[in-house]
Amino acid sequence: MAEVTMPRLSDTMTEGHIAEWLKKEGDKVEKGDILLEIETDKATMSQESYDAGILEKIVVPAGQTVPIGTVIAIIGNGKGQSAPAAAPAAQPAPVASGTPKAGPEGTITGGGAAQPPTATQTTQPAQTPAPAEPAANGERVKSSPMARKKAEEYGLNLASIKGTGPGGRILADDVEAAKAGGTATAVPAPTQAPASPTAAPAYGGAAVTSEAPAPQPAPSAPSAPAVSTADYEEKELSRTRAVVARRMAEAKQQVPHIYLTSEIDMTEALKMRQTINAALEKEGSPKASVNDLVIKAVAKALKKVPALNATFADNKIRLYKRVHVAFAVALEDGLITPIVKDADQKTIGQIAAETKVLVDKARRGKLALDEFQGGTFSISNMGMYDIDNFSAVINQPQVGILAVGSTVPKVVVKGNADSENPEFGVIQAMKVTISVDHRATDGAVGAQYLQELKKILQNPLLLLV
Amino acid sequence: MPVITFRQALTDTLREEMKRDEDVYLMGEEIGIFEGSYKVTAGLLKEFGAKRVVDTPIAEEGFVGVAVGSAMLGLRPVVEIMTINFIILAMDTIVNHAAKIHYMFGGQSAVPMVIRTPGGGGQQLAATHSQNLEPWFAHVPGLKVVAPSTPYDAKGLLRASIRDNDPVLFLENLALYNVKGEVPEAGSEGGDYVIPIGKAEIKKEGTDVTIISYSRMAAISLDVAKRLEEEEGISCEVVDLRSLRPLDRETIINSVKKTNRAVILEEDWRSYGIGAELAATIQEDAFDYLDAPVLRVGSLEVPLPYSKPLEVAALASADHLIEAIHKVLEGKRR
Repeated sequence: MAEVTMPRLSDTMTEGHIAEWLKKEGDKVEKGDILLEIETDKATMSQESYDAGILEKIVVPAGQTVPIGTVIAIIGNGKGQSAPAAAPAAQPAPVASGTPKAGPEGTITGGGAAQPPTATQTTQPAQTPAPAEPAANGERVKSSPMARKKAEEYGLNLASIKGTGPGGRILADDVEAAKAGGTATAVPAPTQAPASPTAAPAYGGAAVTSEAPAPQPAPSAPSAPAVSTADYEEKELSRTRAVVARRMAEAKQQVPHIYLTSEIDMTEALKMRQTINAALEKEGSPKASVNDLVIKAVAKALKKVPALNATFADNKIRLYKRVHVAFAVALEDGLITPIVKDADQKTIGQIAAETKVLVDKARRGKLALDEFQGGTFSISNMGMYDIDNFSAVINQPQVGILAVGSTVPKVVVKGNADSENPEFGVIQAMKVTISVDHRATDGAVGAQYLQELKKILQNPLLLLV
Repeated sequence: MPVITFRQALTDTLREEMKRDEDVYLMGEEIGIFEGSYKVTAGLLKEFGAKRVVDTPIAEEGFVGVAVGSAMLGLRPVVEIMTINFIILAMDTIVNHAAKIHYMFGGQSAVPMVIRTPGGGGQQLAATHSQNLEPWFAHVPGLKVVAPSTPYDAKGLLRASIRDNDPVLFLENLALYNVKGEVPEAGSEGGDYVIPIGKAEIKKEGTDVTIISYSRMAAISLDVAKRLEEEEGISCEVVDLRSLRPLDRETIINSVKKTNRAVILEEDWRSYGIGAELAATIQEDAFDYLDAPVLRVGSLEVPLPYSKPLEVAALASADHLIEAIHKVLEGKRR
């Protein structure tokens, strides 16, 4: 069954007038036979048949004017089974034409102009335009490229920023105001946590004082540049602070943290440290801090439980062959985590010397990129602040971070706790809490790690062998 | 420093170049006995004689062709086309010969010629005598196109054009001939300067929006920029292209990266005009720095009317530019 449609006989033709049918219903039709005469805007033309068969039905009689593409007749096999399709089934409009094409979060400039149909394409009366691509939350966000660039730089969610440009477009100034006023939300967590943002250092898992509430929710102040009043002073985020803020928020949003705490008896370790430092001093080398011992212990323990010497990104766990331990150093406006590479293989003396240099460089802002990027595990030590225990935020994409508290003398039960006259003694107790990424590992592995760590630190000669 | 007119700068430069290099000669309609329709060549016939200042019949295709041939053989013609509207008669010889001979002859023959011609409207010369056809030439590989807006630039660029071994279209403007400006005398300190072809100039620095323009419109842009700064505190940076081909894309991009907004002022028609190339370049190389779409202000797309009020309404103007600047700054906090 073939439909005969009103053809486009000239570039400017939009509809045609059927002047005369030269065949009638029931007539046999060969390919090439003239079927009808069509009057166009230019001339009257004879229209031939492209099909052979019986002219079963004349759908549009002579004297009528119809748009191009309208079915005007049916040619079939004569059995009369074919019925003309109802209002022309839409030839699916090519999705590309007519759809305002815009880049991600792009601005739509005016309605997409429908492309003029080509000579072979017939236009349908009702063309359903393809729906415009919705943004993540279902609504397109209009923003200028500069605004987008700034929003990305500051880690702000464009959808949370009010635009004051034409048509509600978000402009660069709007992003700046939102950043200063703290009214924008952070970017929703992508699945890939980059090892480091573009030019900013990979700041480490910040030490969060024991179970402090998550980063402050954005105050609902009207967006405006930082102001100072009698009641408060607004502070603009420094580059460092902005990056830390973003990374911490991301880590808390993306990583399911679990926390395991263990108390380690550091008595022997502290004694050994004194001995070692006496020797180091004799040779004029830098002395080892408790943290230096912890770095070595952490590294050795990672060799025993390699599942934690890993990163998690893109739904993949990457187990590293070398152990690079990062440790947090507090800066004026944030913190950074310089790295001791191959910490498991360095001596305590070497680690002590290295950390001294790294801390100095960190404080002066002189760390090289590879001196703070590429760590496989992190340590955050708040012992010097008299914090007995805390939980740290994981330094993505690493899977674990160890929070070290202060070492305090503590009375404990020695021997059998159930005996009638239990003995008491004093230990140097240091609490550590490990945070691990539950996507990459489990509590049991974390616990196993702490056991190894404890074993090493409580038998500190293991640090030397 | 002496202050002279744009016209005078041209006349002086032609004289100096003809003195410097005896291969330089002039050709054009009415340039000799009549001393030039716009008096740019005044006094030159008297000084250099008929062999070096050649009056031609009204036959653009013919005498431009003669110029091309003579250039191929080593002379350095500076041809005057009375107004750019008549250049259409010489299209074939310019586009197919002047622009291509160096390439098609495998470098065996250069075509070191200059075509000087004023474009633009505003003198009620009506549709066929008021056009801005420079985009047609800026489009053609093998040609160079320059468009100074000040007497200083005119001198420096004319020197560069005459000394260049490629065919150069030197665009003037009827309304610029009487504009005055400081131009150091040849031979004086800094007086022998040459402005390289292909270098734009920032005529005024600013931070809020970049205005890009050339020729007469660049002069208008500078005026508008100064006014807006005084009256409305808007800081415009004005980029005077000076060369259309080659185009100084670097200066344009650096400026837009700084201001995040661009408005182009051109006297030609917007569609497929000079601004279209500038806008494409800007969005390609400074996309992330744009805080607003790039706007082009051109003359209305009609054959230019003769009637004065209509002519004024149709030509690109300071008012149109100001409107566009306001539009592009919409929403920006001060």
